[in-house]
Amino acid sequence: MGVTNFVGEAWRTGKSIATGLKITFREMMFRPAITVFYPDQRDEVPPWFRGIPVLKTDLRTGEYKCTSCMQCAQACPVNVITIEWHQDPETRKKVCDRFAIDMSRCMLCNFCVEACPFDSLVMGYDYELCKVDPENLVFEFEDLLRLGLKYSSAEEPGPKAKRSETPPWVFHGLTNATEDDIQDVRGYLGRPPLPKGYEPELKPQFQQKQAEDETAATVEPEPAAKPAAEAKPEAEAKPAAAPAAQAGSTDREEAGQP
Amino acid sequence: MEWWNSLPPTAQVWLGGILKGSLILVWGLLNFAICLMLERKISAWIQNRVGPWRVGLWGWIQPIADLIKLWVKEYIHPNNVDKWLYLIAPFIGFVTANLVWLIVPFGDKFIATDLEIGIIFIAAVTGYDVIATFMAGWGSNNKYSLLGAMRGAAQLISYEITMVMSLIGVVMMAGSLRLSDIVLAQQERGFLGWFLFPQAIGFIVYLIASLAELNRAPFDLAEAEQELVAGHHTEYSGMRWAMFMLAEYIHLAAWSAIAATLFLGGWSGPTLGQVAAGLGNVLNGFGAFVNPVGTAVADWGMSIMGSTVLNWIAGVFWLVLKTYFFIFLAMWIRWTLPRVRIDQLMDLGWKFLLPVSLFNIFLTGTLRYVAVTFDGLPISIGSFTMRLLGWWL
Repeated sequence: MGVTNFVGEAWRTGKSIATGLKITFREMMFRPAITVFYPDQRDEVPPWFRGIPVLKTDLRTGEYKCTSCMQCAQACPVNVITIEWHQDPETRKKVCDRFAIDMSRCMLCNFCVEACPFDSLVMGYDYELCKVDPENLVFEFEDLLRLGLKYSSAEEPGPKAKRSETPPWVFHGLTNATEDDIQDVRGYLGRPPLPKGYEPELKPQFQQKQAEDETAATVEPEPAAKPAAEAKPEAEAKPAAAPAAQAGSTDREEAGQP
Repeated sequence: MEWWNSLPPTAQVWLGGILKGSLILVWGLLNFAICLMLERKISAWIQNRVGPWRVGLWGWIQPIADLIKLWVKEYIHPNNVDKWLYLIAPFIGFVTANLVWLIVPFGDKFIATDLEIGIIFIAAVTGYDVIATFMAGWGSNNKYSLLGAMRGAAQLISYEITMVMSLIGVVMMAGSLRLSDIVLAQQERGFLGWFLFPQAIGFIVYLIASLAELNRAPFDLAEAEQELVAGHHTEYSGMRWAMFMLAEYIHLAAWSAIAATLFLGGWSGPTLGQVAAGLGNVLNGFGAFVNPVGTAVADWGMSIMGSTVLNWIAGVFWLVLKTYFFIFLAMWIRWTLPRVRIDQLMDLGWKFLLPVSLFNIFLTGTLRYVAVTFDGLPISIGSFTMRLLGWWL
């Protein structure tokens, strides 16, 4: 190692150190913090986020979409889905007695959602699943339906067998529906499957919309499909998500580094 | 002062010592709290985070919360440790870190102990730190602790030599080992007569060697948490662990104060009186349009220029400013550079820094000889060069 080499190496070392220091100085002085102050603010989750798997409801009648076909329980790699059912002698349809997901063992792999032939399961956005008592981590049918309401929409009447049209990497369309959005007068959350020719008696607000649709539907080829198609954008247009996101971003700017 | 002078000399020594010791302890702890917070905040800013945020305004009371938490924590005492070594080690480290503050001059004759051999004292006291590290590592009876302590000892002993060698240049220029003399020598050199400029090589070597002495990144091999759990303080918890942290940050602050004293002129800087006098001079247009306001300001500045207390405050201000510049530098480097390997560390220490510091001694001596020998000679060709050299040395 000659003297030239010695000096050259020292020079290169110093230069690289200076470069590194410059970069960190830039990050320190001129870049805002990306911290989200979690309990006060919540970051938006991406559409492919896999939270707890939840059950959807048909908002037209309040029926659950699950048919107790056991496909999800079969697909589950960790056997956390428990389904108990019996057959209703009148409607000749399966009634789900118990649908429980043990979230203490669920690995959020999305296999149940992929297996579901009736688009009944969906991976929810909910990720704060901590419970004080671990036994409460078993989410029962009612819990799952309640959590799944905000991904539900009014279905068009007809055969149920229909897979989700969304691509497989987008898991849920958030509709932000609530129990008030169940359109049937006698409908309720967790209503068991109804006989085949059941025509729901709609609540007044939904009736009016249906009438409007029917007057406007002279051009449309399929008037029967209207309620569902109409309810969907109406629910999606609910501005619940947008202001939350705005508030989050402004808070984050305020809370940037001093 | 009358009361103080009436005391017997023994009482003066003891009372003064206790007072100075307490003040230095408080000063060290204050610096620890600020350094801890700065470290966490600077690391956060460099990593685009916000750092501690919840306790107090922007989280600035966090170190106190941390210390209370460590204070009330359980003292875990492992079964197979070497009892006395294990118990004493953290406190030795803490004491040695505080000792360095004894010889830092805060102002003109504002210094705890004005030792004639200040620089040798620094070398000796930083050497004690090895003992604490090694006692902790050996006494813990833990392979990670021992490995960390071995590395720490090897590193500290190697860099001790380099560090002292890099300071020789400063000593040659000041002609004294006493820190207050070194500050005065820098003041005599005039405006910005800091030893930073003539001793640039020594300064860089001292910077690197001190980082290694302090066990700070990129030389934190003794507590490399990715390889050795926490190095020599793996087995410590609660307040004993906090003692190591205290020692580390007080040492960092003390090292920065020493660096500021040796290379950045220490406490020297414009005092309030000088600033006021200068401002009055400017207001008077440098005598071009003398007005009552400017004259009043200048007079006020001249009148308070001799005030000891105000000059001391100015001295502390400048010293703290320079000290925190170095602390910031150390933290900036820590959160920028990756850790070096032990062989790279030894290569750097013995094959690069030591020769360079010896070369610095040679260069300083030669140039100084030239400057002194040819001082005042009417060499027409080299006149400007000679003057430059004269300023330089």
